[in-house]
Amino acid sequence: MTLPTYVVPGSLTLPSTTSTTAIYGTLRKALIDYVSPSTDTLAGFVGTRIWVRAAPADPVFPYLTLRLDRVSLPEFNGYRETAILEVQGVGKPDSQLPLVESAMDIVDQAMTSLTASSSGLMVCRGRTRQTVPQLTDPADSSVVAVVANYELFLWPRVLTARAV
Amino acid sequence: MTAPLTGYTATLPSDVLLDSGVLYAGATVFGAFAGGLKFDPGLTYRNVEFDGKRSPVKGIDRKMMQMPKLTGTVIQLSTTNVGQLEPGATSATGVTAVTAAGGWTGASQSFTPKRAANLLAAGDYLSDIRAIWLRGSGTFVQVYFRSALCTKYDITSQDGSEIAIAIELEARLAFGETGYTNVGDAPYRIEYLNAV
Repeated sequence: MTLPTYVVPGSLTLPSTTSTTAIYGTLRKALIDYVSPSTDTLAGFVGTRIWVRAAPADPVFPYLTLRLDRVSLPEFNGYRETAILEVQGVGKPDSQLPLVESAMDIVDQAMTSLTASSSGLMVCRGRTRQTVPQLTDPADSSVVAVVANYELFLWPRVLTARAV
Repeated sequence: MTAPLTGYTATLPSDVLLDSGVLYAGATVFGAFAGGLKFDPGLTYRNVEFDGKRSPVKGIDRKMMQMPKLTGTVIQLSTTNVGQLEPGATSATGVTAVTAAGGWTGASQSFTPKRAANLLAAGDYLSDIRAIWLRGSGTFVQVYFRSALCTKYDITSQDGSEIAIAIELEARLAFGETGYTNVGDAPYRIEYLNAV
C-alpha cells in the first residue's frame, strides 16, 4: 500500500479506503455519481465543485465542502471506526438558498444510502442537518449555507491492512 | 511490532450483514419495524443417554425438534396486517357490521378472529415469509418460511410514540410440497439472493 503524497486528477484509484485521501475521494465520487429517483445529480447544482475542507480562493458558488471527524474504539482493536462527515453547502447571493438546499437534498439521499464494500467497508445511514442562520455584519449576509453531518462506520483498508 | 489479534478477514466487507432487515409476506413488505428482526431456529438436540456417560458424545446427537420463529415489533396496523396476525379471521365491510358491535359509526371494516377449537384451513397460513438482510456486498441473505403462522402478538401504545405490535411468526412444515416431503425436514431455509 502506497500512501498518496500529492493528488492530481486521475491519481487516485477509486473507490478505495486505503488512505484518508482515498476515503475523501471515494465519498466525493459517491456524491458526484449519485442519481436521485427523479434523475437529479449534484452536477446540476454544484457541478464538480466539491472540495475537501475548504473551497479555493474566489470560488464559483454554490459549492460543497467535505470534512471528516473519525474515531476508532478499542472494541475492534482500532480496525473499525465511526466517522462524522460534515458537508457544507455554500451559496452566494442569498437567492441561491433553494439551490443549496436542493443540492443538500441530493447529498442526503446519496449519503444515507451509502454502502461501499469494494475496498474495505464504508456505510452511512444517519444524519443531522441545519440551515445556517442569516449572517450579519461584519459577516457577508449574502452568503447562505446548509451544514449536514453524516454518521458513518468504516472498516477502512488503511487500518485493516494491518490485519490481512 | 505485532498487530492486535482480530477476527477481521478480507471477506468481512462483503459478508457483513447490515441494518435491521425487512420482513416480506409473499412479494409484499409486511410493514415497518422498530428494533430489527430476530430469527431463532428453535432447535432442540438430544445426546443419547446411557449408564456411565460422562460427557456429551460425538455421533449420538439427534435433532429432536425445530421451532423456527421470526420475531419483531411492527409499528403499523393495516387491514392486511390484521389478516396476517389473525389466521383465518373473516372481515365484513360496511357500517352495519361495525355499528352492530359497538354503536360506532364511520368505520367500514370489522375483523372477526377465527373460532377456537377448529383446525386452521390451509388458506389460513401465511405463505413465503422472508426476513431479508442486506450484505455488505450489495446482495442479500434471507430466512425463508414457505409456510408460517402468527402464533402470538400484542399491541402496546405509548403517548407521543408509534404503536408497538410485537409479533411472533412460527414456521410450519409445508408437508407434501417439493423439498418438504419428510416430517423431519426443516421448515425453513437460509438463502442468498443477488436481488430482491
